[in-house]
Amino acid sequence: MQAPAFQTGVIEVNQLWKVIENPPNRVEILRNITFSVPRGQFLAIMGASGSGKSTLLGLLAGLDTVTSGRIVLDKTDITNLREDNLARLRGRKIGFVFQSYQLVPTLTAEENILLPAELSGYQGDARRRAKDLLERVGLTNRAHHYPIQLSGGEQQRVALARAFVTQPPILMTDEPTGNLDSANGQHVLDLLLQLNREEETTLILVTHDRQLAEYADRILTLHDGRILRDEMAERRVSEPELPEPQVEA
Amino acid sequence: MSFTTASKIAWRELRAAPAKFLFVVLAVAVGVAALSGVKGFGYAFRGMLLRNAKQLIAADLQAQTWGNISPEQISRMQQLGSQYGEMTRVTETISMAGSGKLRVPQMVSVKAIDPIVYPYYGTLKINPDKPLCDLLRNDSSVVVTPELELRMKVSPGDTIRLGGKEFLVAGTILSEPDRLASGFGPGMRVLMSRAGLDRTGLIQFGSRAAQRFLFKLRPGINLDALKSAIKHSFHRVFISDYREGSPVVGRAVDSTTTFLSLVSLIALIVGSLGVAMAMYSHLQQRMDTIAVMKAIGARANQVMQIYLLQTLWLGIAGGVIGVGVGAAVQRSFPWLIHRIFALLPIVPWDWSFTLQGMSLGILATLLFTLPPLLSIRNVRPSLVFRRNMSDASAESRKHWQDKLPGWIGAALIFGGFYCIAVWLSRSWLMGSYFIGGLAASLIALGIVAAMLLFFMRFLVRTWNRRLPPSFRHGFANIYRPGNQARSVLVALGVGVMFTLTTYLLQRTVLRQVVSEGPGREGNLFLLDVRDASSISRLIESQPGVTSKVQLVGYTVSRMLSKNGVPVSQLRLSRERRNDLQAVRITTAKSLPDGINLANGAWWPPNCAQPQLAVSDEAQRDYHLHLGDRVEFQVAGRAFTAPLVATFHREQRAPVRYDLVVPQKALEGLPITYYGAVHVKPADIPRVEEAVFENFPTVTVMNLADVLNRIQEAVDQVALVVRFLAGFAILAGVIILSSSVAGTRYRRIREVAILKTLGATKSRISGIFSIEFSILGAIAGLVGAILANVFTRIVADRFIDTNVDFDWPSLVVAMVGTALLANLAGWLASAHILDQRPLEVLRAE
Repeated sequence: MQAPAFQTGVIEVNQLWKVIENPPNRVEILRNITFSVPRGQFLAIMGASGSGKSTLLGLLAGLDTVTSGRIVLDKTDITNLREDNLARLRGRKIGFVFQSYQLVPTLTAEENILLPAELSGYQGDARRRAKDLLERVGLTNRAHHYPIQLSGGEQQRVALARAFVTQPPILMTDEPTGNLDSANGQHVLDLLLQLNREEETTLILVTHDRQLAEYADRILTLHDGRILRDEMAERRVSEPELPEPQVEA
Repeated sequence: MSFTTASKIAWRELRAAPAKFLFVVLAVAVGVAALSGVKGFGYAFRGMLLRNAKQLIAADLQAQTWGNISPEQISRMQQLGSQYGEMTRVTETISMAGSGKLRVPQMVSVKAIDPIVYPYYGTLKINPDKPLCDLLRNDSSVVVTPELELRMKVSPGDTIRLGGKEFLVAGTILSEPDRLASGFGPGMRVLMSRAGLDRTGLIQFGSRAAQRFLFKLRPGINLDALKSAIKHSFHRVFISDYREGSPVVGRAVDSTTTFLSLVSLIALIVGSLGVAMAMYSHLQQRMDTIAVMKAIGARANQVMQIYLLQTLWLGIAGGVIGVGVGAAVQRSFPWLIHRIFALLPIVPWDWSFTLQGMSLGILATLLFTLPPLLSIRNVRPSLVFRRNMSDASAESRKHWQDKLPGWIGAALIFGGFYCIAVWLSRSWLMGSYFIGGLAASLIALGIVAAMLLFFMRFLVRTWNRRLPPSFRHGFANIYRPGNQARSVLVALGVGVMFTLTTYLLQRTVLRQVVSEGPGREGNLFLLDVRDASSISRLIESQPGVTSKVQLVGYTVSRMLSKNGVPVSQLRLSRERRNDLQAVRITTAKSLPDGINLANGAWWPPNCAQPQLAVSDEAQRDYHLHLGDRVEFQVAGRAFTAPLVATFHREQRAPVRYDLVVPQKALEGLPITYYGAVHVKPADIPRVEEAVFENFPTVTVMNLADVLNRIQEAVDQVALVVRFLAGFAILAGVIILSSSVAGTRYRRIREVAILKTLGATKSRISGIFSIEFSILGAIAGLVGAILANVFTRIVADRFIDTNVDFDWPSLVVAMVGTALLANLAGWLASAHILDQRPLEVLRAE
């Protein structure tokens, strides 16, 4: 696999700590995490259940607050941004694909795709782009269906289209195929990679699926809140197989 | 997010759960209905008064005074009448009337007019349709109301007796334009000419009579100049003109509707509480969607926009329905208050409060949904990953930040409803009392409800193994997530508390009237007695009379000077000085019952020397001191009395003593007596008849009739208050239904599991019934406890009586509310028991 020509870091993470407290218990979810993601890179974050990978993704997207440390997203330090500013930033710069689709149940497929464009005040022709994306994920004929009327695979394809509608520079996905059978999962993955290639986004993928992670340019493996391994595609080819991580319950 | 998208999401969410939001709409509608019904009626009534102002006083301007008027004052009014247009005098009093067909005399309201000019405005409808001056051509005919004809069994052509004189009933009064302006209330009306009244001899010095001078003015007259001239002619006069629209009646209706509006506001507040609960549980269910929207870039205010729109629509829908139902309430109001405001004219439908009622509904809804709406700010987008975790580093900051929307919301709710209460009552003070009282009630209800729930939980934990399974499950359901038991208890409890307080106060007032009222002095009252000794002899000689006749004499006097200083030079306010122009002096042989000597010494029995004793109030008002020599004038005769004693009047005193002189000191002066005597109930008609035969100008009132009238009036007021407090109960029931409906999905799942495990329908329905019964019973218990406490406070402070805790009311409230809660709960749980377990479990 040939590595793309990376530019400067679009995501910079420095000495990041996240402590979760559910009294009387105190859990250090992330401990002193530091890494950088260059623009255009496809980064897979791997780890066993409870290793902190989903938390890390949430922090990278500004969905949660850090306990200490710093995150710079496309030259913006998001660590101390206010809630609404974070929302604006997400709307402009981040696309999201969740494991459980997370479509708004009261909006149709097309309306769900259009929602981020509306929220961020997308300048382009959102409607045309939504139609185009619907076509690319093969759901033109399902445009006016509500999520409840779609299968899991179809819902995730709508979520993919929604993630790309504003042409965000970064796409974050959390186990995008986790709720799908293998055929649908593969189909969604192909679409994700295809769209990512076409749209030239920086892709952060959280997964515990080794096979899925193998598609990435780089794999960051977390263990017990720390970075266990940070490996590029070229190195992985020459290194022995990592032990299979535990499957999440 | 565009308005269209927000609207789309808001609408589709509403459409997805119509039953849940129907309860919200109904909760708002109930409050708006009560409020717009009452306030709308008040507006309509005010409008009617202003539109028909001239008809309602039968003149352009009316000057009303009570008591004796001098020939000089009458001629001055006639002079003013000629100067400004026309004037006619109307005299009203009450007296006894008898008929050949009914031996027992009846109390009637007599009105003497000039049939040639009365009324200046409006129409006096009489059957037969002849001019009034033809019907009352001589001094021996009258026209009467149908009620009098019915009760005295007379009809046109028959005669009635008034003041010992026969009068021909010449016609039936169908409508009387200035009936509301009457000084003697509704009663059975006898309309006669002034010459007729003079013939009865009813009006003498000291008689109870209202004099109304009606003016019909030439165009362009300066009303204020006329008013000023009238005021100079009387010491006490009440003047109203067509611009004010019956101010006395208007004020009475205003204060009634203000009070009732505040009672209705309680229903609106309880209803809005339901909206807040429903929105809170709705937002809890929407937490994931909100988190997703935030995750993909929605700002908090964009998400809030969706739910604000929902709230707004629900408020509008509730407001529209409420205003519609309020129209029915407004229509039914004249019937509800017909005893309080007898002979209400037809009040047209008034829509001017419609918009305000709707606005209030929407405002109340928005205010109460502020805390849940503001809590949207606290929904973290990271919820898409995990729930119920808190951030250690920001723990303390988030703690108060999480609570901030609640506090801001509470402050806005308090401020908003304070403003509404002030607006409705048009008084900062009353608004403050209302909101303060209500807030205290709600807090007390909340605390007591929480304590009871805690106690019940403790009890169930302690006795867990000994309790039947249905009870254990039923009780556990109260603590299920989303059940909002405490809010339901507060909402239902408020309704029970107000309804029961009204009932307990109503009963307390009536008991007080019976036990502490004039009944102690006797059960037959005598008014306008002139010859005290003769009437006493007559009554005491009648069979069935079981006590001596107790009579108190009084006369109306003018205070001339104090210690030789004319009243005009005394340092008194103008109002007090005016009072002294016609001050009432009561006579007493010895220290009367119900008053306590404060200073000085009371005169010995049979004292014939003029001496004066005054109440502490009068002493303060007129700056009197022991030893002061006060000069009075009665019917042209002056006398001077030294102030020998001051006293404190007990609240239960049967007579309002202010200025008292020895009975014998006023012998020879025109004294009017009133009093009472104990007569066996069966003999009362015979005594009334004897008094009427021998003393036709004396008014006799039977205590039973008086109590009946008081009871009717109190019942009527209580009925209206209970009717409106019932809206608060209804709102509470809706809230309970809404809360049950909110947990419908959980209940369906539980029923499926229980059925799968072998529970029968009856077992499951028993569990739910126990849950509803416990909620209802606790709400009833809390409401009843607080109702008893409030009744005790009000009775102690305002009625000066002690009230025992009413235990039976506790039982009735608990059982009644439990039944109501079952009804509401089962209505909201319809078809839950019919679900097939497999369908439900498969759907998971």
